Amino acid sequence: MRRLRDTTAMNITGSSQPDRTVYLDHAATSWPKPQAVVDAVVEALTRYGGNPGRGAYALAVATGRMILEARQSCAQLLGVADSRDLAFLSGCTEGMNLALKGLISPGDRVIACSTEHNAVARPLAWLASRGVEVVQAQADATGYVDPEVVEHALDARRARAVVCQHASNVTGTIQPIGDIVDVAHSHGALAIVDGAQAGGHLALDLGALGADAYGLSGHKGLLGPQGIGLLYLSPETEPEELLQGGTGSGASELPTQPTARPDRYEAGTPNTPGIAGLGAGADLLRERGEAFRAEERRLVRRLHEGLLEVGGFTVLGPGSGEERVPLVSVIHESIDADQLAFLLDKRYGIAVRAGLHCAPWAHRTVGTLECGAVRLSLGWSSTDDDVEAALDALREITR
Amino acid sequence: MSARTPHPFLVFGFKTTHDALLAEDLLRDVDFDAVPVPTPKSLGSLCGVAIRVPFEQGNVARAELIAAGLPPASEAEIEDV
Repeated sequence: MRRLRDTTAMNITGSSQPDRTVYLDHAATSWPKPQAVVDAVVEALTRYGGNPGRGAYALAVATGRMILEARQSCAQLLGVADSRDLAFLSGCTEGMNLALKGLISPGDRVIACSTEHNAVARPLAWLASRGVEVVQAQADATGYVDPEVVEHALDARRARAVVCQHASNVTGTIQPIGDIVDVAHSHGALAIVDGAQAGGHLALDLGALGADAYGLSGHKGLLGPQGIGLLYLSPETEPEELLQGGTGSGASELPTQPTARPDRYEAGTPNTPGIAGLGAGADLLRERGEAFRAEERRLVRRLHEGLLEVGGFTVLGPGSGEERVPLVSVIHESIDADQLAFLLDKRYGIAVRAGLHCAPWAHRTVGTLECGAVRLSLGWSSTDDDVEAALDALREITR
Repeated sequence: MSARTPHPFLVFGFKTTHDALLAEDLLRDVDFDAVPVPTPKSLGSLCGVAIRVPFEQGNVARAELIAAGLPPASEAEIEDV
């Protein structure tokens, strides 16, 4: 049983809160948003009031044009040749639901990596309750999924699909996703990828990757507002749509959903402000993404090394010399994750996330299902001062 | 009240608003007088936005669209006043 350190002597009162915020929860959602994103959302709310595709008056056409340009910018950022293959959805969770439920049927077999987020694990549980066989490909203790493990699972019996995250929201592990896609295809299986933690933080070329479906969160590394995400579907991949409804196009008098992209997967009035913000995020990342990523890599190395120097922490995931997405999760030898997160917030104004991070599979894989972990995650706005403030605070708390 | 001369146009319908606005961009880039318009009832099975060009530009515009991989889903002649 773990010994718990008594931290009550730190005199935290219910209302105390430092004036400043050191934001280290970019893996949950990026913040602050770039001014260009804020401006784009405001512009959408003030200038793009028409319902896109539902009229041909100037305001509606201007809104439709903004959406077209945002989709094209996202496509250029992500290496997608035809922007119609990108659907704007409410987020990566909807994308994963659409891909999984739209492509997998009762009686199918699915190989899922053992570090998947609930955005995948829960739709798979839903499918399993309807006769889909779900098999986990076990990651190692760092959260790394060896493509040979996936291949072994595929050798055992034919599968409809392999689903795997590109990067872990718990360990920061970057999966060998190209190899996993290739292994899936070589066995006649679809490759479905959860890219929630990859978008913006890794350079992506979805056309070259060759996955059949790739979901992205719009509000994390892609820097858009909450409530928007993307699903890439390869030109040959045609999942059943989750929603049917108005699209402003197609044969309106017919009861069936049009099959033309992107409308097939975008029933209902689109999230115009969200799309505008995501488009602005994509514009910014096309211009400065490499610089952001280089800085994130440098800072996360410093954070990782600094946490090891503080002492008493176990860092989950890859070693300090290995690349990871810009997050580090830790457990402390004597202080629980929730206590650490609370103290960081209330005493130092440092925002981190404790617990299971909606990823019990991943925590089970790395042995932290019972205790959870504290995750510190960086993004485009993170600085040396943010990292040092967190390290100083943790030194003081654990002294 | 003076009578106004009707002007003939060709209207191209598309499967999606995305395609209609791409077509408008494409045609404007090569100096067609392309204008988004409400899809006319003669294109019946569509709704939303269609793209109108002067009738005399219609054949060349259609060829441009086809060459660019944006073939119209339907088309109709209209007269504007």
